[in-house]
Amino acid sequence: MLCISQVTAQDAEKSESTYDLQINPGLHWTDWDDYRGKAGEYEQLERGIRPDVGISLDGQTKHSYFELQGFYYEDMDNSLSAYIDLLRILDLEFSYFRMPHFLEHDPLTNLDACFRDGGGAPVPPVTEFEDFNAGDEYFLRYSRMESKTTVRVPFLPGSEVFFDYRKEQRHGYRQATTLSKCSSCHVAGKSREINEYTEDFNPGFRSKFGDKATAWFTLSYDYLKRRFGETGEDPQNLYNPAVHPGGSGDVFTNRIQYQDEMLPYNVVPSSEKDAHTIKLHGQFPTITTDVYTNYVNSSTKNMHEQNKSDLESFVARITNALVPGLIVSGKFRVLDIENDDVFVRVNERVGTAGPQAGQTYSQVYPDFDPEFYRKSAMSRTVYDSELSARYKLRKYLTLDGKFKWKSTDRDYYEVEPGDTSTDEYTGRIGLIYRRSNINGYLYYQRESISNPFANPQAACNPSGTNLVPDATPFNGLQYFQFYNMREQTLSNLPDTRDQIKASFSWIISPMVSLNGYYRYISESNDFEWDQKSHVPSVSLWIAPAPDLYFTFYYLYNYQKTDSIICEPVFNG
Amino acid sequence: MKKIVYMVFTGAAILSITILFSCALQPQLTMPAIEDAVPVSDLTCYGCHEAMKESFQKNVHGRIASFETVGVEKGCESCHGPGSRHSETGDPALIFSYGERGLSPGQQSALCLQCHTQMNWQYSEHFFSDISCTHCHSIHVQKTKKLLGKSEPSLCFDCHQDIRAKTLLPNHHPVWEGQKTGRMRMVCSDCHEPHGSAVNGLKTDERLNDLCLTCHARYQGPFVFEHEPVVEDCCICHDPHGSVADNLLKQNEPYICLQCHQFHFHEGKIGYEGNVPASPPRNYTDVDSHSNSWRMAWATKCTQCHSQIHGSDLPSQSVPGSGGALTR
Repeated sequence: MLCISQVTAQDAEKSESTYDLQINPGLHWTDWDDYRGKAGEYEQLERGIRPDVGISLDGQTKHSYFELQGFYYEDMDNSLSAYIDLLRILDLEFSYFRMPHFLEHDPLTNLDACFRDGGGAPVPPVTEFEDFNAGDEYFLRYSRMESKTTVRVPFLPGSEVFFDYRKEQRHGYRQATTLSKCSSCHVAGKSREINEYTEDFNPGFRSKFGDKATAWFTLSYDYLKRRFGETGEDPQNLYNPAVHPGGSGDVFTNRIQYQDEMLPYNVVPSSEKDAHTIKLHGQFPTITTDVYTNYVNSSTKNMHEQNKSDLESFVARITNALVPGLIVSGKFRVLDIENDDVFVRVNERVGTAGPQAGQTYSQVYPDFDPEFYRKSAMSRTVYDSELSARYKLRKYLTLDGKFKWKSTDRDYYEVEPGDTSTDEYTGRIGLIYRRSNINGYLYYQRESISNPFANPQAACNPSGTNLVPDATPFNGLQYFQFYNMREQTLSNLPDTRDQIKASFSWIISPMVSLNGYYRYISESNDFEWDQKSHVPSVSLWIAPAPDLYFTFYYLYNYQKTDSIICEPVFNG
Repeated sequence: MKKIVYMVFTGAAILSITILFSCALQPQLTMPAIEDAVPVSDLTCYGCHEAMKESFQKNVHGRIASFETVGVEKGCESCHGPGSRHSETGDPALIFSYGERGLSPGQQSALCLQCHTQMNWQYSEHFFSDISCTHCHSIHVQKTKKLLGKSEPSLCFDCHQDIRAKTLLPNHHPVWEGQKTGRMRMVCSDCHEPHGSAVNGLKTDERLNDLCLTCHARYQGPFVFEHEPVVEDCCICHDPHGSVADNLLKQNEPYICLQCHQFHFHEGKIGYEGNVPASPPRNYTDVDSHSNSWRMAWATKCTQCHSQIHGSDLPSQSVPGSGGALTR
């Protein structure tokens, strides 16, 4: 159980001047029992009664205005914000807050599920684990600082330049696990130092121009430079030598790339991103038409490996309201991503014992080439079109409809054997009722998706696949052959989705209102996966006094997923 | 075929809009007007609405400079229309009023969009749901951030109640924690752009993944060894609004993984019932599957071994897997 209470006293000080100071000292009491886990995931959770204080100061002179706010709750949980407006020419906004984030520590003990001999000692084949920092508690101290500076140019009415800056930091420790193979799988868990930052530098300008009566444009450009880095020390692990589980010696040396080496793992690469965004928004009041276009060109680079991905996106939308009661909007978007190919080299070692001594794995199995070009699943071209309409049927009743088509054409990744593209069709129709005291809507939406994202090499064929190796691990079924036998497709994404959504709000009096909501979703695909959910809710809002209100709320959330689980019986 | 469908669809859309362009019919979203009224001044308004004066002068709308409102009056009448007839008669019908009993949602928004031209309001679901700016914003209040009528997330959850339910699940982004005590945390508008955006109302002009990577940049890569759904769409595995499973996963491990992968071969291993000799023979085909194999299967978290599930630049140990097992 988690209890947090806050007692606040207010000492407001007002004067004839336009300065306003508020000091809000308070106390909060925190206690809990059992596992803190998710109940206090974002709380510092210091037991006992502890003070907190909030201070705000704002003021106004003839030409300027400022606001300052600060709140101290715990040493890892506090905030500051400031806003200064000088002559409406210079706007400065600043905010900073930090908070704790508690993280789970996986004891890994389930990995002890293994065969044991009569004496209780594990014997091969086993899955072993070692938690090197079993007593450590993991949490991060998260902080975010943002500033927004805007300069308006009086001699260029409607124009402004801005510079936004954001810095996020995470400090602390989290658990990092890795796998090495000795006689069998061996999972090691260690504490990983986190010392990461994300910095955004975002300058740009906005300008309005044209004739307000006939054609009015807003043009904006901004450049984003993002830098991400992790300076926490990378954890190291001793990767074990390959040992035959049956005790036949080092016969698997040529199946692993490295052994008996202390190597880094859980390495987080630094990255940099550059993005240019241009937006043009045109309004044509005489023909009640609104046009919006947007072009983005961005590039993201992995600073460790020097590989990068490039993205281009163009959007155009036109909205028109010439016909009385009818608003029509058409949208088109094209997005293209090119992610660099990477050649993957494999450190092939020569076998040291057994029948494969003196040979590499690919020399023994010439059908297998371990090195390859990694062609990215990210590379793609996406077309996205949408036609939306809203028509006022009667004074309070509006009909809403939408049709959307989206095509994702991947450069390399096949979602079905030989097919890299996914097409999505979405249709929606709805009725909206709005009066002063009764509002409501009812929507139905259907989505039909051909070839949703899937793994076409997810599972072996249900029958007829011989997974039993021969008498030795050297002349029987090999892992790469086993992987290649997976020809069944699986996915947790639907190829059809039906959705019904309804809501009503009845303002019984200025002090009482009743609200209801319902959402039903049914979705399924051809791979024996389906999911249903429905969420009814009702709430009653009562405000007995202007500054006091109560909300009584009931919500029921139901979701059920059915899917097949494929487990091959394998003896190897 | 796909291209043809696309071209037909786009052509139909363009044709429809062209036809609409050619129709010289009464516009719906043109600015409302008050016949024969002319602008007075804020001082005239304060003559009756004195209580508004102090808060409005501190409010950003009260402080605004004339070089910001190009082509639009500043002050009360920029939103409420010319006030001469209203000030003479006191008739509320002779001034633009907002809220449920005032102008239509479309007219209200049109007035705001005179100045807020950077908004892509016609892009938003709120626009098509006949929502006006004043459904969420209280224009005269002073100290509320973004002039919201209520603080986030409560404001959003008044309508989006299914999302409210999800954010109350054990795993969620910290949208509620600040609400309890007034501390700064995440809010809905950190990710969502309620005024319309190019990507499903989200605060990005690129892809959904790029929005997530704004904060979770450690998964940016691009990595040498990819996990394909990670670069496809974060929401294949994660539900950003909340979940029962850890790490905002749609299901707990191993079940989320088993939606797209068969069980690991270790878990299907045929083994011995009872104790195992120190050097077991390799061919076990004549005995039943061992219960421990199943225990291993159902209790396994795939990411205990495949810990770099979001991608890695370092090769895993196995040669037959070409280093791509995401275990290092």
